[in-house]
Order: sequence, then structure tokens, then C-alpha cells
Amino acid sequence: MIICINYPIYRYIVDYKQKQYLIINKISSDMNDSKGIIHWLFLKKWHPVPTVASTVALFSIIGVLFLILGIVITVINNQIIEVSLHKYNAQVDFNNEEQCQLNNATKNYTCTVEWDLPEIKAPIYFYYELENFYQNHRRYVSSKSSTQLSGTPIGSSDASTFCNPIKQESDLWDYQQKVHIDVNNKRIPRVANKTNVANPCGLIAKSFFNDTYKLFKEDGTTQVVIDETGISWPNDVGKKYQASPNTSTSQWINPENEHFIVWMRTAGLPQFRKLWGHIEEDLPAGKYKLQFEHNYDQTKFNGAKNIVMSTSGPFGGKNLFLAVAFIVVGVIQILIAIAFLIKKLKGGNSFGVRRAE
Amino acid sequence: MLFIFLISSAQGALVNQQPIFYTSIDILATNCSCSGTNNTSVHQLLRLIRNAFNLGISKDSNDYLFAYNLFVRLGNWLLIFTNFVPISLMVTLEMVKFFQGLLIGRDYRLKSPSVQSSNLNEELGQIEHIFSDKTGTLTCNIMEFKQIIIGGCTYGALDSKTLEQNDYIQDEELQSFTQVANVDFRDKRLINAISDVKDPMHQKIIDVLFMITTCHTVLVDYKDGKLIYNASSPDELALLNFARFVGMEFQGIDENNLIKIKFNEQIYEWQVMEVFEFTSTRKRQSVLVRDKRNDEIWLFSKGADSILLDDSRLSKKELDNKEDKQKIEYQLQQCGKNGLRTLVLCRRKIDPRLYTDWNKKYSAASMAIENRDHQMQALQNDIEGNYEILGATAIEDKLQQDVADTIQTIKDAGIKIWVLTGDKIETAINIGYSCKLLSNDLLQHIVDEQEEHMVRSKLEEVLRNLKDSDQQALIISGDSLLHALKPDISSKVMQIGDMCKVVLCCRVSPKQKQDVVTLVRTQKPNCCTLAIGDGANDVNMITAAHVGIGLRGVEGQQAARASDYAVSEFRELRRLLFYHGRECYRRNSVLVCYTFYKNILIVLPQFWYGTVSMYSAESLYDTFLYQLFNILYGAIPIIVYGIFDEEHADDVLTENTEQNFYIQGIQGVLFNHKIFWYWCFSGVWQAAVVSFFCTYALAGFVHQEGYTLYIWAQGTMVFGLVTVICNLKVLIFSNTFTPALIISIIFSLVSYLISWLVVDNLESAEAYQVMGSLLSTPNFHLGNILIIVLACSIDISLSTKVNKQLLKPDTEAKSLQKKADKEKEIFAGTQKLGGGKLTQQKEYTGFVYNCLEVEDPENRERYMI
Repeated sequence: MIICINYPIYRYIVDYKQKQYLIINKISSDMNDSKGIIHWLFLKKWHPVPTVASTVALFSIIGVLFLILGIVITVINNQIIEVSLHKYNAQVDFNNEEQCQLNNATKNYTCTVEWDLPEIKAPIYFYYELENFYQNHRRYVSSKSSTQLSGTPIGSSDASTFCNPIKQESDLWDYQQKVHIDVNNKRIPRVANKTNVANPCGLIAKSFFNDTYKLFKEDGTTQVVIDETGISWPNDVGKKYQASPNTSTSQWINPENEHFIVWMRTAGLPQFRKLWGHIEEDLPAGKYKLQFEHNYDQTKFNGAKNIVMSTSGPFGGKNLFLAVAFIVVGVIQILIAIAFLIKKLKGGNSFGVRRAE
Repeated sequence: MLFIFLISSAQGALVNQQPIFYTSIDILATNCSCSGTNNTSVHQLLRLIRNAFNLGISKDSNDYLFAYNLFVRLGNWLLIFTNFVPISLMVTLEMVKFFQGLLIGRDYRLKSPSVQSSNLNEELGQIEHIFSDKTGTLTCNIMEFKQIIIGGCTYGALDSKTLEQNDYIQDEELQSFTQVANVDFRDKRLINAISDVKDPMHQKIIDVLFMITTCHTVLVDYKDGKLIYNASSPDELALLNFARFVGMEFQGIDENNLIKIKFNEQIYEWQVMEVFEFTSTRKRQSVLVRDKRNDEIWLFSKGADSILLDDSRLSKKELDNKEDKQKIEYQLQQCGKNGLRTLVLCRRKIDPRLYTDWNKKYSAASMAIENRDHQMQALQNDIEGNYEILGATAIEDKLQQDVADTIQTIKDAGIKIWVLTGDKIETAINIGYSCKLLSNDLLQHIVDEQEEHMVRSKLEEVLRNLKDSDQQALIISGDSLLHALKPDISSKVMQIGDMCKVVLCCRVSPKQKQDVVTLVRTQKPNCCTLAIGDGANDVNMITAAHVGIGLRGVEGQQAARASDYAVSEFRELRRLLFYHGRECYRRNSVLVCYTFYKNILIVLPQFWYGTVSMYSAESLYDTFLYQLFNILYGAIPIIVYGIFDEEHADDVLTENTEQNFYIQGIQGVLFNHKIFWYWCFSGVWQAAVVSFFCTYALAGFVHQEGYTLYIWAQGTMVFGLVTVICNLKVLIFSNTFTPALIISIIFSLVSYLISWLVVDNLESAEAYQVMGSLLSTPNFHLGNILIIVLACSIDISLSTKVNKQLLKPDTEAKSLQKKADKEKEIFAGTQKLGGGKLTQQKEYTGFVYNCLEVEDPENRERYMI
């Protein structure tokens, strides 16, 4: 009795010898004795026996598929235009260079940097990128209160449980104590009670990235609109992040602010990008001026702030890692197939002959 | 693991020494300390020094204390790495063993097996020494009279097929004969010859029958009016019962030593004058009788062919007619090969004058004060000679079914068999031959000494004579064993025992049986021992060995009750060891390794992730999902594997002829440091692949709409992949796929998906609202395919199972060929080297005379039938 089951890896040949046939008969007769299902479940056995040919074929097919996929991803990657402005605050004009590199968080100092761009087609995604910022540190990741972020105020004991070490208003920056940032990123002055629970509390919130950007064409007056809405995951807004009832006085930032939501989703690597906005118009090649408010001090984490603009493909932006990984894994599959083949050639004729069982 | 733990926590503490950004935001905003973009040790050291100064500045924080950080980080990593400890292992293993025991207990091919302790399932697969009882275990404890050789003519046969149809006594006809035990004789020719006076063989047969009925030491009892023989030896019982069966009934011996024999409704009387009893040195028993019919004096002897057929003892007439002697010797050899116990029957007609002379001397000798035994023996020896060969008998000590086959298989598998018996050496050797324990190409070393120094010197002599091959057997008596088990000598016994395929210990008491087992256990602490027996006298031995197997025999339930596994027959040992034991050992060792592997695979991604998260001991997984991993997602398939997987079909394993499937357990190749670390390593690299590939595949801009992913998305992806990979791993190393296995794997994965779905909507969970973003990210799916294929394909190509099936056959064939060649060489070598020795050893003819000479009361009881 031979039963072949088409399964990706093996062809299963079941018990063809008379003896085992008898055993199967025995089992099936047991099944007739109405203890059937248990016997079927546990005693019906397939002995998978791979053959060399099928194994080699399988590995090489997977290898080839992966290579093709890797190449496809590379091609797609090449169609994506990605430009970045590395350490933009270091590239500003000489005039206000000093101002822009200092820690001028309170002054909302505006700097401008010139940027040569190739022709980019909409939609263009506008990212800020931080380097050497460990948003994945154990203490950082857990330093937030989900309850507070979803709109329910918490007491000071909860704050010290979840938000350590940023518990009170006094633990926040000075400028965070003085303003309320609303949904549209507008700053509204407010007076903070230093002993109140910081709202939102925790390290993630406190370290909120607050640089803002404006993009102008070469003339310096025609603004390229950067749409700052729709930058967070759709299911985050309004569910996980909700404003408190009297948000403008009790909270230093409205948790429904999308930049805040984006920030709160802590990145997994020390160098990460976060979506800041998207541009819905085609940009012709040429010189552009990027105006930014330099609020965030990169020297505190000894890192760098970059700007990245990218178009999107089916797999998102450029992803070199995946392309390389697919090609490498494809090569590994083919190498395994070759190794089996070599062993076969060395093994001679008896190689892969199914051992009688 | 501890190493990784220490390294990572120390690193964590060191890295944390650097004022990482948030503490700098917090406390030292104005301090120009910097965090590490460059993790070289010099930088770290510099920072360490600088931070030592910072200590004084930051009064209100512990964050700069190296010791504090080390402590906290140590604790953090400890929490993460606690999951290395496979708590689930004990639960899983116990469960699996329980079910394995249940399956053994329900094996329909064993006769009512029962498993008393399923803890030893895998030890059944690693047995190196088997200690077996003889009577009741190897044999049925039943003697059956099979053949009689009279005047060159063999009557009776081993089975019905060798007899012609007309000569065979059918079952119905058997009813008309006297109903006796211990006789399985179906030859009509003999019956006809007895009734037919004209038959040429008639007189010879009658002579033999008279000889049989006179030459013995059996007493007669009447119970409920029935004649009952009370024999000290089962052989004599069988002989007398045979005589009764064919019509010559021994009716007892009166106070005047007058033997009454009833034959053809007539009473014949024989006067017994002397009885020369059987001893193991004399190897014969004789009686001097006077036939009351004609006052002729006869000496009847029965015993070993080596003594009685010796040229010096035969009469001139026999010596002249060499042919008869050769014929009977050949017939005896045939019987011996068939495992029958043979006795040669001889007689001598004694001249009355010679007798009177001899009797004078003998009675004087029997009254001698000095040297009486010696004198008597010399006189006995004098008269026992000048024999006329009457014939020979062959009695079968009935073996249990398939004992010889089973023992052969066990020996071939590389297991050493020690048979411990209360019998005498000859009996034990005889049984050894009939159950293929001994054969003529095994060199036998016999140690049977009384004194300690003799035992010692004999053992040393044996040691000198030891050969390199294991084609040897040691036969040692209980008296010698008494000395040999003393601490300083015991190592020698072990040394010899190690070189021997078979060890026979004869005339041992229950206590000695236990001592022998203990000796092996202490001398070879790593080897696994099994004891099998059926009677109360084996209980000591059964409890002393690692695994005890009790046979439910005629001798009661004691052994079965004291044992770990109770079966009904010796041959079931084969299925128990080669199928159940071997497979349980294989499955359980895989199960243990897999459990470690599984835990490494789930824990280590977090360590690898530490390399990109400042070794801050950040957990990647959602707490709820993590808790369920060892209960739901990774537990059931391995249990199903542990219970139902089988590498080869049960018959192939039980036969064990294709290759030695059992040797793996003896050599411990399936569970050792190498294997264990291989599994650990496979967990380590797969964890690294999963961890890094997930974090990098999901890093940056990966969604069509431009959204970016976050740590919990990466963690959940890692977790999902670990679940899938460790479930697929079970498929990779499974030899058989049962529907249950596949269903359990599907169940694991589906249960993961369902619980993920639940957690996804649980506000307090870390993985809250992760599924939606992950599923809409193409890189998630691409990465899954990539990682699963990478991990599994390398696993498959390294998997021993696949390699065995794909690559080994011819190398195996080659090694088998080599082995066969080598064995041939060795065999040829022994024939060359030890040729002299081997040929000196007389060809085995199967003589044995089982006589009660056993002091052990238990054994005495056994022979009182």
C-alpha cells in the first residue's frame, strides 16, 4: 500500500511492506471496534521519507524564488527616491549657525537651511530621524501611563509607579510647564502647579520631539505645504490617546496631537525615523529652503537630527536590508542544494535509496 | 547561560554608567558628559572615571553608582533569563512518561503487561547488562522426555514432522495410554516393539526399560490410591514416567531393598544391593541389582557420555564393534545440538564370584575409619567398567517460547547477559546451550573452586587466558562467587565479565544474585542494568538492578509485584527493550533537549535585542502572551511527539537485524554534552536570526502610507516567529507524522493567533493595537517568510533525521560491511590463535543429570515436584 501525499518538503511513502500492512489492518480493525477516532489520531502514522532529488529540487526552487524576490525588491528600491539632510542644524547659514546649534529650546529660534532636491513625485513622506537615541531602553519604554494617555487623570501614586522618574510638573522642562500644545501644534500659555501630577507624565512624553519644519521653494516665499495630519497609525487616534476633559489647563500637550502619538510609539532601534508630515505635490528638481524651529537639543543624547524625504513603493520606503537578506537566503538555499548534490555524487549509486523498513 | 547572563548584566551596568540621554536630561543637563556613540572600552573606561567624579555632583540619584547599576541590571537580566530554567520540562516529561507507560501497558502484542513505574521507560533503552534467572524465566521448569536411543535406533522426535504419519501417536490415541506428566513421546514404533515379542528390538528395549526402572533413587507415594513418584531430580522423574507411559511401572521399593516392577500385568522383582550415588565429579549413577528371575547380578549405570563411553570403561565386545559407539556418539551430539539433556545407559553383567570378592572389600571399606570415602570411591570405580552400551535418553528441559531467538538478539545488540541460577554447573551449561547462550565457538572459562586462594589463582589464570575478542563465556559457581565477590577480587571478576559475552553464575543464592547485580553497579556506575526473574528468590535481584522486570509465572506474584515492569514471558523482553525502551529513550532525550532549545529560543532574542537597547534588559514580549508560551503555544506538539513518534516500525526494531538500532542507548549517543550543546546552539542562532531580522526588517519606513513601526510590533513579530519556528521544529525532527501531531501544531498556532487577537484589544497589554499595523505592513509578511524559511531550511539540512535518510544508507552499508569483515577476521583469528584451546574442548553433547545437590532451601523446594 503506497500513499503519497503531496507535501512541500517530502513525499510520504507509507508502510508498503506486507508486515506493516498487517499492522495497519490491525489498527483499522481496532477502529471498527468503535474506538476509532483515538486510533486514527495517534496510531495512523506516516513515515516521511525525503529523496535526494526532491530535496535538492525543493531547496533550489526556494533559492531561486528568493533570489527573484530579492531582485524585485532591489528594483523597487531603486525606483524610490529618498533624500536626506544629515545633521540639518549643522548645515545652516553662517549667520545663525551658533544660535541653531546651541540648546535654545525656550527661544523657538528659527533657522533656515538650503537643500538641493532632485525631482520627486507626490506623495512624499517627510521624516525626522534621530541617531543614538535609545527609545528602546527598558526604563524609557515603560515610563508612561496608558490610563492617563487615554484621558483619565491618575493620582500621584500611579504616576510614581508608571512614570518614574517624571512624575510631577516640576520634573518637566520649564517650557513644558509654561505652555499647552494643542492638536494643531499651537502653543497656548498656561500656568502649571509644580506639585501636580505631570500630564502626560513619564520619560517618553517629556522627551517629546518638538522641532517644526517649513519647506520653501528657492524664492523663499512660496511654501510647499507639508500636511501634518494622518501621520499616526489610524487605530491609535481617538482610542489609545484621548485628551483630558480640561486639556488646555491640566495638560502640557494634548495627547491627540499626532506628532505626540507618533512619538509615543517608541522605536525599536537607536537610530529611527518618525513621520512628521507628507507633501501631496510634485517637487521639481532645484534648490529649496528648509526653515526649522530648533527646539530639540541633540547634544543631550550626543546624537544627530536628520531630515529624510522619501517616496513610497509597495513595500514602503527603501529597504536595503530586506533586499540583501532575500538574496543572501536565496544563495544559502542554493548552496544547501549544491551541498546535497555533491554528497550525492560522492555517495555513488546507493545514495538516497530508500532503506527498507 | 550563566555566562551570557553575567556578560550582559555587566555590560548593561557598564553602558548604563554612561549618562544616557534621559538621565542627562533629568539631572545633568548642564554637564557635558556624553553618551556612547562609540562603545570602545577606552571610552567606557574614561567615562567610568569621569562618572566617578560625577558621583559627588548628583547627590539625589543612584543612577551613577556602578554597584547600584550592576545590581539592578543583574536583577533585570536575571528576571529575563529565569525562563531558561525549563520548569515546563518536569511537567512535560512526567506527563509523557506516564502516557508512554500507559501505551506499554496497553500494547496488544504483549501478554497482559503492567507498568509499575513509568519513570524508567528510557532506561529500558539503555540497558547494558541483563541479569536473568534461569528456571521459570528462560525455561518453563518442565522436563519432557523426548527421545530414547536403543541399539543405534532413535525413538521419539522433537516435533511431529520428523516422524512418519503412521508412527505418530495422535492426540486421540494418547488417551489410551497411562496419563503421566513430563513425557512427550509419540513414537509408535517403540510401543509396537514392546508388545511384539518377535521384534528384533524387543529384548533390548525391555532391558533398557528394566534398567531405567531400577537405576534411580525415586521413592513412591500413594495419594488417593494413585501412584506418585517422589523424585529428587526431575530427570529421573521424567525417565520413570516414560517407563510407566510405555507400560513398565515402577511400584516402589520395600524395606528389603526389593524393587517391584509391574509389566504386562506381571510383577518383576529386583534386589538392590548397592547404590552408587550421583556426584558432579563422578557424573554417573550406578546400582548393583540382582534379577530375582534368574539371580543374575547386574550393574546398571547412567551418566555422562564422556565417562561412560570412555574406551577404558567399555567391554571388549563394544570396543571391537566401534561402529555402534560412533553411532551413539553422533546421535548424542545431535541431541545436544537440539538442546536436549542426554544420559547414557550402560550395564555390566557381574560374575557372582567377582561380586562376592568385591563386596567383601567394599563392606570393609565402608567400615574403614580412615580414608573411607576415598577407598569406597576407588572400589566403585573398579566395578564400574567393562560396560555394554544399552542406549541413551534425551530429555528436554522445556524452554519458554522463543527464548533462544530473544537471547541471540539481545547478545547481538551488544547487551551482556548474566544468567544467575540456583542450578548446578552442568545443568546451567546445558540450558545455556539449548537457549543459544553458549555455543561451541565460545571459549568457556569455568571457575569452580572452593577455597579463596584457589578462586583467586583460577581467576588470575583466566585473566591471563583472556582473548581480545568477546567470544568467551565465564561460568562461575556459587562457592567461588562467595569469595569472588570480596572487594579485592571482585574487580577481577568484573574484568573477566567485561570481556565475556555471557556469564553464567551457578548455584547462587538469592542474596548472591543481589550481590552480583550490586557488584556490576558499583564497578560500572554508568551502565544501566536490568534484572528479570519470576520467583520470590529473584526479588532481591530485581530490586537491586536499575530496571526490574518480573515474570508472572507459576511461582507466584512476588517478582511481578516487586518489579518495575511485569510481563508474562521472557520473549516479551525483546519488544520491551528494542521497541518501547529504545524509542522511549530516543523520544525522551529529544524531548529534554527540545525543551531547553525552546526556552533558549524564546528567551535569547531578548538578549540579542539587548545589543541594540543598551543591554537595558528590555523585554520584547507582551506579558500575557509570554506567560502562555510554555502552556499553550509550545507544549502540546512535543508531548504528542514524546508519546507517539517512532523512528522505525516496531517489527524492524524488535527484529533488530537491519542494523543495531539498540546500540545508541548503550553508547548514550542521543543525550550527551555534544548533543545538548548542539541543541542549545541551534536555539542561540535561531534566536539571533529572529531577533535581528525582525528589528531590521521593521525598522524605518515600511508602510505604504509612511507610518513607522515600533518596539512592540517588533517584539510581537519575534514572539510569533518563535512560536512558529519551535512548532515547525517538531515537524522537522519527527519521524512519523500522526494526525494528532499535525492537529496539535495547528492548535498551537491557532491558539496563538486567537490569544493575540484578545491581547490586541486589551488596553493594559503592551501589544495593544499592534496586530492591525503589523498585518498591514508588507515587510511583516516578507520577513516572516524569510525568517521561517531560513531557520527551517538550515535546520532541515542539519537535521540528523534527514541526513540519515538521505546520506547515510551507503555509509551505513559500508560500515556494516566493514564490521562483517572485521568479525570474519576476528573469527578466523580466534580459530588460528585459540584453535588448540577450542578443539581441546570436547564437542558438546548435552549431558546433564540434574540431581538435587542444592543446599538452598528455595531451590530444593523448586525441585520437589
